[in-house]
Amino acid sequence: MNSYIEATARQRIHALIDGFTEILPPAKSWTSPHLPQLNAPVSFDDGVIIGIGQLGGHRVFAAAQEGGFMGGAVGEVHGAKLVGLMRRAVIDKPAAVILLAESGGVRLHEANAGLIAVSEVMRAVFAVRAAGIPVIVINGGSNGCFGGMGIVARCTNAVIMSEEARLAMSGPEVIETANGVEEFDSKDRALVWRTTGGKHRYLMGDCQMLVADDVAEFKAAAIAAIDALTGKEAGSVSLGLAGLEYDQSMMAQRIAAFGDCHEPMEIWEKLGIAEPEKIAMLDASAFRELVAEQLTHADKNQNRAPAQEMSAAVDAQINQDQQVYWRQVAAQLFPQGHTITEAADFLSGTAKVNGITISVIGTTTHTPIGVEIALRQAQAVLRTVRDFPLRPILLMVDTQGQRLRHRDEMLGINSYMAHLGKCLELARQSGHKIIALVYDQALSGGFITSGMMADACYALPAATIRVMGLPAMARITKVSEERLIELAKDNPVFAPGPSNYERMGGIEAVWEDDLATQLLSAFDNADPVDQRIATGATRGGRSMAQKVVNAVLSEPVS
Amino acid sequence: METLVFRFENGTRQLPRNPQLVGVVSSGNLEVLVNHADLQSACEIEINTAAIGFATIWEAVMKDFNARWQLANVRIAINDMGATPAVVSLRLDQAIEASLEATT
Repeated sequence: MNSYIEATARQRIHALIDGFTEILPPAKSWTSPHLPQLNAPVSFDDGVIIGIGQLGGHRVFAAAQEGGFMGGAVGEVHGAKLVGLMRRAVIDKPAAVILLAESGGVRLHEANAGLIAVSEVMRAVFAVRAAGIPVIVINGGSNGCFGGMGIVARCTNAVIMSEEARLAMSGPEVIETANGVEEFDSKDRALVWRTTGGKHRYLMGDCQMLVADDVAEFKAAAIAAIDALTGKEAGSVSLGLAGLEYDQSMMAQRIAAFGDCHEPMEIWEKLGIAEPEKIAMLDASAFRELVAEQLTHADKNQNRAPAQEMSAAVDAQINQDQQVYWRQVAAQLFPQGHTITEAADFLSGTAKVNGITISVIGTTTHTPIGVEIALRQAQAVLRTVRDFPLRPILLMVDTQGQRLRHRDEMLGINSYMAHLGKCLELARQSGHKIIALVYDQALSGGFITSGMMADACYALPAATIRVMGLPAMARITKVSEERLIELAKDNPVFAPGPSNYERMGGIEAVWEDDLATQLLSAFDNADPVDQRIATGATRGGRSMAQKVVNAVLSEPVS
Repeated sequence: METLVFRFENGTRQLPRNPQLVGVVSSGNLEVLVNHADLQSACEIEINTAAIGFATIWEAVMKDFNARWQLANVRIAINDMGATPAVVSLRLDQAIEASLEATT
């Protein structure tokens, strides 16, 4: 028995991948340009190891995030190494891409770059899948897989976890800070693991294989996953309408069946586990046997249930008040008229742009993105793909971020967000042009799977775009707000706002006036290929990402 | 952050040319990157540390390290996040041992 959780990322990847050859190894010293400006230490690999090797006789690409360095969080270089590896995979066509994920999500020291990078990793993962190459996540590190990487994990074909690992969106400490100890007691370790740990994710279907904390078990599971995903019996590894409609109905059922539960053990009991309190004490193999024996609900899930209408959509409260801000914006965007309605902070409808009907999907009143509203957006996207081929889609973004609730984490909010991202990607691959407009607020996780999944994202000048506010960033980085603002003059990574995101390529342009004309040309110029890294380099807002991607693509590997 | 550079002349032990990395830049830990470099038989060590004001302790630890190994034509780069002297010595020795093992 060789513990996975105790090993470093470099030890893990060498133990799992035979004949592993590293791309951009530490001696090449591709380090973060931002951390020294904040007086923080760098790492020679920026916390992620990428390369090529063999797994179970298959040629694979692999990446391993080091949880010890900055919690495995994604910064500009770190993210670009992952994107570069995915892009190289599309060209070189390995049998699979294996991602040994361990990450707190976006690196707050270089938050703007990290946020854009995570969305780029999502799109790069989809591109790999579209090329027919499966992406498999191994999640067994002590830092877990959180935030944007929690979403990325669920954008892949399979997630392999140990019980000790965690998979979620917001960390328990963040939720407790935002909504109090009665919402989520982050010191209650048992509750944390019941809510985010491997066994719960396996029972919920957010993790496909659960293994013991052992390198050999992870390796065997990864090989089994590759064989299952590439074998003769395997379905397509790319996204498809039928599959996503099935996921949509499953996720709606999950909320209907478990949305009233307050504690993961209640869910396990509803799933058919006779003695849920004993689950925590079982080792991985005993747990798997028990689940196979008792999980009646899983059988029911095999029957394709009709997609349920969201109950909230039924009691739609149509607000015709012209004072409502989104209506003012819509009036400017769509002089030829629109049918957009608001229901519980969810916007949907159609509009005419230059005589062509488009779908409009969005949120309003800074609503936090919880499981329901993520699913409602996904449903609207799927409906457009199914019923209106090639109809362009406009995403109207206004969110304060992901909803910080224990319930959302228990239900697997990262999976709901990943599902929305997949639906938008399916729309893109099906020929729909997708434009996003941040007309009010776009914060952190709520932004990744809405605006940042579009072909191009635009913003109004007064929009708020950020991962976190300057005071919070100052506390975390121990650099004063004044200094951060000063640094941001030369480096847009350090301060919030549309213009900084524009310099980095995350926002295509800021629309000053004549929104209707700008929208029309945005659809005309929409490009299904993710160009943000190149744009960020051209505009001088991201100096490293393009260089890293180029280096990953060009490094000779035997 | 503080950057410290130490150079020890007239080393005798050569290392293989392949670079070697051990350790992780995590709290109380450090990473050590060992590289071959043509330094006229010297060993050069550059340290980037998050803990400011410990130059004399670093110097003592590096002198001990040099006395143990007497490296020639080796450049060592360290990213440190507040490791104790014992951990620093341990990682340095691990790096050199790993480098020597890689040849056999």
